[in-house]
Amino acid sequence: MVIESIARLFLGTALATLLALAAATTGQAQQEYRYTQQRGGGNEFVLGYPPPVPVESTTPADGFRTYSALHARHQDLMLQSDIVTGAVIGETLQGREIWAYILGDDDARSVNAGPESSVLINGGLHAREWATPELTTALIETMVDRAGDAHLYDYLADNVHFVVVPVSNIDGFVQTQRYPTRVLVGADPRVPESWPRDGRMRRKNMRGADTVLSTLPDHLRGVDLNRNNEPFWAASAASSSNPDSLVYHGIASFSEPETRALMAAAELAGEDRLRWYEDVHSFSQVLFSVRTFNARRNAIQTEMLSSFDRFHNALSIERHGTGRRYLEDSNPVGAGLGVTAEYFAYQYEIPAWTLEIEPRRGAVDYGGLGAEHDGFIMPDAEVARMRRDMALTHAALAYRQAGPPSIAALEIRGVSGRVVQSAEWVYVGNARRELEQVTREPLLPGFEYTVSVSFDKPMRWSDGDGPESAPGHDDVPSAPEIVLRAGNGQAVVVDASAGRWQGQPGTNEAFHRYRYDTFEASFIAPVDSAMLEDGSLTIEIDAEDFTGQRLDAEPETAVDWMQGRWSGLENTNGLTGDNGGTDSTLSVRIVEPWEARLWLLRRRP
Amino acid sequence: MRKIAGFVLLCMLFSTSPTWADDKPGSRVDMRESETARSLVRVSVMDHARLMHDAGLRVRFLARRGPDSGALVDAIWGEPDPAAREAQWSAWLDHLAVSGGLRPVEIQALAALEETTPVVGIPHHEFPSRTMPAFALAARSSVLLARNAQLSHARKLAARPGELTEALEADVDSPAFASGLQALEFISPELLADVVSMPREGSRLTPAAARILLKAAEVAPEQSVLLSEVVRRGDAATARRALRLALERAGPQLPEIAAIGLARGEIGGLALTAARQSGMHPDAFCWALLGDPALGADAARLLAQESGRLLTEISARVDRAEPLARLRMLLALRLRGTDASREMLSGLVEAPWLSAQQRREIRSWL
Repeated sequence: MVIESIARLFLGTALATLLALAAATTGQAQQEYRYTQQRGGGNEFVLGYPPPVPVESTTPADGFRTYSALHARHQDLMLQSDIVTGAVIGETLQGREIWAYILGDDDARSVNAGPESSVLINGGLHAREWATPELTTALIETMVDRAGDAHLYDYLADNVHFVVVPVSNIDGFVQTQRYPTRVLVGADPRVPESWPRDGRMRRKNMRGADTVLSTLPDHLRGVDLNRNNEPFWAASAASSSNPDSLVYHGIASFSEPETRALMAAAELAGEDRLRWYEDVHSFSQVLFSVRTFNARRNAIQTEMLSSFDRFHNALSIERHGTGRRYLEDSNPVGAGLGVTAEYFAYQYEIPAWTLEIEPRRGAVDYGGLGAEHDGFIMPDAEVARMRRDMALTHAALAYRQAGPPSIAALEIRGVSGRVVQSAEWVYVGNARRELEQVTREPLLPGFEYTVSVSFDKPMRWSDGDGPESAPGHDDVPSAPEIVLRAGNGQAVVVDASAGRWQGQPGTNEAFHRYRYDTFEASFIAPVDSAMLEDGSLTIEIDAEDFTGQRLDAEPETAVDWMQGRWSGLENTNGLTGDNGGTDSTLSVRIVEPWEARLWLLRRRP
Repeated sequence: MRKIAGFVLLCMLFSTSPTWADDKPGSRVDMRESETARSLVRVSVMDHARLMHDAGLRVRFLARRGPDSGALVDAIWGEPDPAAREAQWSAWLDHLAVSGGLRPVEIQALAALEETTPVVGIPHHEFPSRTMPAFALAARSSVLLARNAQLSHARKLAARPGELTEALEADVDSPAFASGLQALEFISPELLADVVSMPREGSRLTPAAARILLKAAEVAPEQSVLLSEVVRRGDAATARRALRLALERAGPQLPEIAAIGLARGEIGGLALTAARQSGMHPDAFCWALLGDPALGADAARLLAQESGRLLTEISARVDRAEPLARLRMLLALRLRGTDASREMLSGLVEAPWLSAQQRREIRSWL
């Protein structure tokens, strides 16, 4: 009798538990909520600003565009512009083509340093993060808009293979746009009380889910594409084996066509040419970097991230009066969650990170009311600004990671403008350059000359008016330091304060290849006999590009990226490393005063 | 009830083994948060949800006890557990956010909350090992105070036409101008008519004038006629907003507004949506737009979606079309995505007017 009662009690409890579980798994408690601007009654999340609805406009609007409009925009630019090339890198579960676009000229070579470097930027991995496809699209649009600037964008087109995947989780993105204000609440395995899922708040791809919001059993399904990657697939409690979980990692690493498409994008970029990977997400305004066992790679990455932060913050202050910091927050070495950036950091030994764009705290940063998950809903009014600023920041980073600068050429001219001595580094293959020098006349002591030093990249930032410090990089010297040094160590410093970077709009200043890649300054050839006794002077040049990278001190070996560090980058003492130094590879002939008189006689007709 | 809630919270906090959120100094978003993040009590997302749920119950319970918000505020201040107190403030802010204006006691409490530092931390949504503050109390309080100040000012301006005029003449990015715009929600139709009858000379509206006219059209549907003026003469951003409003309202002026939009390429593709929505068929207006740098891609999209004679028209037009229009015809064929359009594309890929690169791109479509 007692046993029967206990058995009944046990069965009753078990039945109740099963029913509760069944209720939880079939989603009976789910309710539809809407995002609204203001209170209207019913189930709603009140944003305090109009919930964005994507528009059918291929051209940038003050808000978000539909996927079909974005895709048409990409394809239009690809067809129109000779610096945009497209390729299909995969197909989504629902059969949509996943496209990557290569920005840059159609040769695979940089101007004077061998094969081009490449970068890969991925957007739209998480469906609800609508700002990221706008950001990636802005990278393409800005590159096309600014082509022909003879400055930063031409430099990038000439020297960088810039690969952009504007939207990788297209099916999920389209699903969120299908329901721009609607979500379901009540069945999330972790936070059933309040976490909105599917509709506008879908994060995952569409594996196992249909497109109809009202069919409840499948609406939690899908694979989190940022938990589906090696080398840390299923290696952390931050991903889940529960298909209903927001962070479901899938049945195997790279099980999803969208993550495999990224591997194809890496092949398109040239796996041995990759130097930077970024996966764009929202929100919280932070750079989650991946640290690996390669200390040099880590240090280079940290410098890049610092440059990103300083540039973007200062640009934002200059343009809008409000700074936006993006600080690095790094993973512990040897641990991870299965995110795409980990794959690129470990597989290719390149700087790789997850960019979480603004807002920092949620839409409260824009005057929003703090509705559930509103950080994923950037107000329409903020989109154009974010797009423009982020495009510039990414261009500056790609410029930096294209490599440290090196001297390309040097000319010394007399006051008449006649070139008396010149030198140029010419790429000859196998990561090597040769110096071609011409000496028409030695320097004559006491005579005035102009020295013109050209670098292989634009060395000063410009927003259209003239050369200036890049935002956040005021510590970069505004002019190169040029020293003429005799063999005995005596030296004359060329006064660079009166020199100029060449290429200001409205002038006929001649530059080498890009505006502000050439610096000119006048000097008087030394007359001190101690400076003349060897008959030649070494020209020591120290300069930094506009992000603060010092010169490759030995241009004979072209800088490249290899095994997670710079190769061919020498410092002042000729040692390879990642920091560069002072170039002293060039020299000029100079004669004693008595010989100078002979040269003057020769000049006479 | 309160004791039970307190016990639950205590159990919860201890059962989740509070951890220090940030063991890497300087890795937070700014110095203020860097200082505070180290002192955050980290809870799991489930516990955070429970904390919010309990706080919501508590605040609703307190609110039901009477209309005296001072007592409610005092009760929250009196909550001994810092995490529960922070969650209750958050629930109270949820309540305030959707209420009307603020009372003095609420303003006072919000001003105090602006100075608070976060207590509870939750795992970051993407990288759960990182902690972020769970409740942005200070920022949310600032927002509510700013909104309330603007609303109060707007109501005042609505009753003082002279000051309203001054506010509407202020810098467009100033709080004064924002209050002036909001005041338009509260003024009489007669006064609104006065405001929008301001002199508007020149071919372009000033940014301020464009925003005033748009706001007037927003608050008073009978002023929808102003939308066409904003689309015609406003700056591009405001013109686009006006176009979106016209699309939402779908009023009788939509065809006129669409036509104006089509003549202003810088407004972009929305104008084509407006034209379509106003009843114009893409075949009637899109072919002429294909060569437009700003509108051509949208024209190609619409034609690809809806033209019944896409292939026939392209066959007839492609050889004598402008270079950009030709490319848009190819784009339309690509976006149509049928066997017939692909077949036509494969014929056109050898056209002599294509560059080698364009030919490569088109081959990638086939």
